[in-house]
Amino acid sequence: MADAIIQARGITAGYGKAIIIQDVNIDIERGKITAIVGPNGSGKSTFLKTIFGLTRVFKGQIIYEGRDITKMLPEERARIGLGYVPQVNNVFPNLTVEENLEMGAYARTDKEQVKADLEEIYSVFPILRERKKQKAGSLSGGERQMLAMAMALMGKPRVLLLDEPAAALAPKVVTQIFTKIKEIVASGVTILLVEQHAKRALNLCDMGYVMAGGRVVMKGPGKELLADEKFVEAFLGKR
Amino acid sequence: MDISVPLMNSLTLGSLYTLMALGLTMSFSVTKIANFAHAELVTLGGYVTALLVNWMGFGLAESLVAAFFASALLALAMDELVFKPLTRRGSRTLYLLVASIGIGLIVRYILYIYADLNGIITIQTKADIQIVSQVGRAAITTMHLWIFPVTIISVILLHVMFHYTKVGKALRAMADNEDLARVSGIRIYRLRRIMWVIAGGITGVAGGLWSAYSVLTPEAGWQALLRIFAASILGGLVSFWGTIAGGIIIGLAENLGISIANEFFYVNTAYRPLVSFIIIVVVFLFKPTGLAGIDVIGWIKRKMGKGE
Ligand SMILES: Nc1ncnc2c1ncn2[C@@H]1O[C@H](COP(=O)(O)OP(=O)(O)OP(=O)(O)O)[C@@H](O)[C@H]1O
Ligand SMILES: [Mg+2]
Repeated sequence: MADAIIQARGITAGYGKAIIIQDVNIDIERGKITAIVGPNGSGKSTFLKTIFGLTRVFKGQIIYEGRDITKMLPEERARIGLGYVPQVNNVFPNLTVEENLEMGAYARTDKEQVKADLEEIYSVFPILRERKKQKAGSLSGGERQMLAMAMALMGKPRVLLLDEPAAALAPKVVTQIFTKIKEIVASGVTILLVEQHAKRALNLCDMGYVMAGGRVVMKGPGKELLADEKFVEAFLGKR
Repeated sequence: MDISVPLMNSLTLGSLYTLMALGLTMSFSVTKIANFAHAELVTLGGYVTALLVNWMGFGLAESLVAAFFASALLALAMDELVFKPLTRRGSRTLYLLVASIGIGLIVRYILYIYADLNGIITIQTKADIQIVSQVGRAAITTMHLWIFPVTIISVILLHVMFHYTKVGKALRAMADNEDLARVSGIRIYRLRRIMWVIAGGITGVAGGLWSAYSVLTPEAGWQALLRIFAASILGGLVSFWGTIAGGIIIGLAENLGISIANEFFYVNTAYRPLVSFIIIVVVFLFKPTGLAGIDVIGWIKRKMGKGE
């Protein structure tokens, strides 16, 4: 079997007493892009939150680098190499852009390197430098999404979980974000990408999973899924 | 009509309300708990200060430091024993509010029993108060030289902490979005403890200064709670500068405002406690973000025609 940096083993999880996802097995391969696609409400976001410890796990384990982290606090997971850009509410609206980026690097102790990384982020996302003294709440959708991704990168994660990073953005911005995702992977970071736009995600990814009704219903290399008649009929047919 | 005396009272009480409300603003913005037991942090600070000065012969400064730690400890205990466990079990904010009323009641009656047994149901810190200057008919005393600077320095320190230190920024981040803060690696429980210590401590100092300014009972904090909330709510519940403005406005409305209303419209000064209540209702109805929601600088810019 391939080299998985994170393994979800038989995960059943939800909120409070409600079970949302059931018996989910997903391997996130080191240095690759893994994609999860599926219709609205199928539990994609809930699965990402579960990897980060933000839901209630009823059954199963999350294994990171061979270690069971199912019970670890989210803040500690952030400190051992996990990064996460939530689908919504992914910046601190009352903090300035620069403060948001500082919070992204909160757990790091290599101050000099953090400064250098901040400069690098500003050169990659010049708009963030322009807006650095502005409150994040005043940013446009695209700028906010860039900031959210930049924040996560400031934490120097080894695995980055991205929840619909391109949802509801202008096509030009979408291209920018996808280019950025390819660069991130090229720099050695593992990516788990959740996308509603299945074609886009499956073209990009190495391995794809399809979720529906809280379960994984199909999996396979992205291109193979796209070529699979059953998949196309069930999930892309109407497009 | 000579307004120097009510004006002086307004500013003094306004400063005290501000100092009492800062901790409430802080704990509310970070934890979203409307903490009714905040009242008892004030009272405890007042009693600790008065007892140390009157019985043990401590100076006011040392006693205020002790009041800081006493109320800080009480605030921390409230959170660790009640609020945090309830929050972790997913309690709604309404349940936390009711729990805080319960904690307040318990602490208040423990204080009552203690005060009753020791014959100190009413108490005032015997500080050495001298008149240093006179404004109209109002005296400026050494007490004012304590109250004003402590309030101003507290606000400045809090502002610096929340905007220029890593811990302070992380507390603001937590106030904005606790899950995202955790995702960023912020250890929220540790930060929460730091927050309660500072919020409780400042509130204890406020109680201590108040005990040197007027007579306290075990009910004192509880009776002032509406004003404290009004100051904090006027400030938008999240802003320290807003809280100062809120405190001073409550002070002015309750003293100068009532004096003027009494002088010109024969309003009975007995209506004084209603003032805070009316202010709370009006703010919630018309401007729930309080003064913090008013963009003063933007407004000035627009007025001056430089608007963006
Ligand atoms: N905090 C929550 N508490 C209770 N139920 C929730 C919570 N968040 C999501 N749910 C429920 O969980 C189910 C799955 O939601 P989830 O957000 O995981 O789906 P998704 O696949 O990410 O959908 P989308 O494509 O719309 O983002 C939905 O029915 C939703 O109502
Ligand atoms: Mg989602």
